[in-house]
Amino acid sequence: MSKRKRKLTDEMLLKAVTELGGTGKAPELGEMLRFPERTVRYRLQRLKEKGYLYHEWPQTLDRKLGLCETGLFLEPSEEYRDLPRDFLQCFKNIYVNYATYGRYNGHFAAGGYPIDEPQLIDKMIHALKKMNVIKDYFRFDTVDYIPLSADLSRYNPAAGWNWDWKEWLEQSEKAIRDDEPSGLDVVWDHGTMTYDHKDIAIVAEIKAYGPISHKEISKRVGLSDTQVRSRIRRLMNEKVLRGSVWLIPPTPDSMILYTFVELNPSDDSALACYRYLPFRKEIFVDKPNKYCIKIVMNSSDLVGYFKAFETLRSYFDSYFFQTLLNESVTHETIHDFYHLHNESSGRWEMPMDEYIWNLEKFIEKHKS
Amino acid sequence: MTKKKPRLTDAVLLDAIRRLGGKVTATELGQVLKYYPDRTIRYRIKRLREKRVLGRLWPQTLDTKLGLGDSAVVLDMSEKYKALPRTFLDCFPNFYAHYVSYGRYNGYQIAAGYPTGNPQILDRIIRAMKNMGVIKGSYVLKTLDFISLAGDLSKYNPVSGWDWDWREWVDQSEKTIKVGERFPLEFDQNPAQFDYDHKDIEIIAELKMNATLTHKELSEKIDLSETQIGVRIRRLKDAGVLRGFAWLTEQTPRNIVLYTFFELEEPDHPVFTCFLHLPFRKELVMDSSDRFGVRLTMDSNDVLGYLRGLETLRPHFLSYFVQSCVSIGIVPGGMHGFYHLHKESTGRWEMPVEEYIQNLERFVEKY
Repeated sequence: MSKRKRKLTDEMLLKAVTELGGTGKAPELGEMLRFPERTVRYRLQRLKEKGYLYHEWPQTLDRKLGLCETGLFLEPSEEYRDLPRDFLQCFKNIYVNYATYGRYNGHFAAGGYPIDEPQLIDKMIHALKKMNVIKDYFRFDTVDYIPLSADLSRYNPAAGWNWDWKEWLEQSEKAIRDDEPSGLDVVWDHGTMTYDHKDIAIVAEIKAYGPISHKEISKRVGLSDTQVRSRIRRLMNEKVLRGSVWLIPPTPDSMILYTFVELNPSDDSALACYRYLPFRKEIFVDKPNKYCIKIVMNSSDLVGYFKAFETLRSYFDSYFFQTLLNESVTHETIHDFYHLHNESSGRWEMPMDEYIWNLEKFIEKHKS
Repeated sequence: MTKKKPRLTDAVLLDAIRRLGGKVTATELGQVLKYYPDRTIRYRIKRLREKRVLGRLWPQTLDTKLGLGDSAVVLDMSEKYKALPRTFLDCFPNFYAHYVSYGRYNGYQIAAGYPTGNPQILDRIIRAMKNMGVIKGSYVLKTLDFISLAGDLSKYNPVSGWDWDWREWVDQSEKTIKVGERFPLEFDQNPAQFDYDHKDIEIIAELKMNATLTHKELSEKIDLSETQIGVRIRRLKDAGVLRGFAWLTEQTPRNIVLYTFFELEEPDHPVFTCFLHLPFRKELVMDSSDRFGVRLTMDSNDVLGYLRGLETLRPHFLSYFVQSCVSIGIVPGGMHGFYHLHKESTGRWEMPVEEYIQNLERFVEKY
């Protein structure tokens, strides 16, 4: 009697990745599924070719490296309504910007500020207001974030996400009825670790180039292999490097929707509902009652989410949506953004006065 | 030798519907498609309905001429009453339809009627809702005039949806704005009043429930002879009250309605023309010479492309915002009940607003 050979199917692999929270490297997955590493690696490659998986995205907690994250929704004034969105390039502390619609209609800018200089962003907004570039804004500082993995077994590159908003609504109502806690383990003060420029240079390489060998990193940052290895271990122990998640290849239909909610943190089961959504989502936290849920879905999923939200919305104190589209990256790579950390001073250098002066010049040029 | 008659294809028929602005009966189509008898056309239309390419026929009316004002009201619900059941809207029989709406305002978007002689009743309702703490903000766009354009059905497929590319729309729009192509359609800023009575409103009410009713069927429902029905419908058409009939696409779970409200420097600004390049069904509404609203019925998967394209248009608006509307609700009694707010005995639109507000107060108290 011949021994029947088990076959590693796409479904099995995607399910395993989902169970591991959207992460998983070949050795880990191989052990879990009891298949040789080589087979897993080959099947992962096939899933990439078929459009199920894109690449791994390294998640980092930059706050521990003294770099804070902020999101700004800027509503242009009537006077500057035709000012090109490129004006945000004047601000080197902004790394990406989008067009946005929702409660605020205009631009979304994501950027950073040094942990000991939160007033830098106030200064930026003050200048934009004083110059009458914007008439209104909304600021969201990310103190912590919790990624909720996508259910990759429900995704098909051709058909999109297999989900039913009515089913989600039932799950959500049950979660709320049962007082299911959100289980979000928010850390309000991560503190900072002792770091130097080399640590940041390593993070920059990983963030910009994804899965990159220690050897390659050591060549680029000018450290020995061993040093890179021990620093990466330290960054992982300190939870600055939080592991990588698999992304789905962006399609012309993928869109980003932010849901901003306020709710009582002691009664947060409405947030637990989001665990049952199949899409990739991250929950950002600003204050104990102030959350932002980022969902990456297809445009065709929007109507279902909006319909279900009619029921869900009463569980939040307040809410609003923002769509983000037409992405424009400010820095050539995310690499440059991290290198705002200056090796000689050992500080994050974001000369806001200079940025504002750049904006003045930009506007002058725009007017002429 | 037999003469070969070209077959009437769906494409030919849909193209004719599009050329006629979507507002067509089989007889009107017969005048364009001279080859084919009415019977064939009627049969093909029936087939298109079965294939779900065509939904139902909808009579388009400018009710302002009948003394009935129309408006879009967007409500931003307060935190306190965020869980107030949606049925509170039923306290107002003049709110004939409503959607769940998200955007600058988060709550409900309502299609509301008011007597043209007494537009203040809307303000009165909104003030009461504010005082009661039900809403924290609102936006109102009153319809002075509207232009309704059927979707380009030749670009619609009931399975795959609308065949369009937002990049093409951006290219067309950029060109339109560059050459300064003025908005080619005209709004009637001083709609003349029309001498109407209750019977005219009854006819409209019946047609809104079922636009395919024949004159004979109408005469059975309304106490008028067939001839009188014919005369009145012609009069309603001549006066621009009844503006024709449009084929709607079948409603599907993918449908979403996007309202873009904006202010313009000039009412015929080229940016307005850009909306005409979109394939969807559109209603262009004028409130005053600088305030407008565009209602688009599209599929969920078209939203992203629309918003992407809108980035090209928006620098030309003095101000703007977009509301996404889902889950339509209709007033109890439907459109028929709504039109019967016109009372035969008084010959007036009776909307006792103080009574409505008292109903809301009781509703809220009970809640």
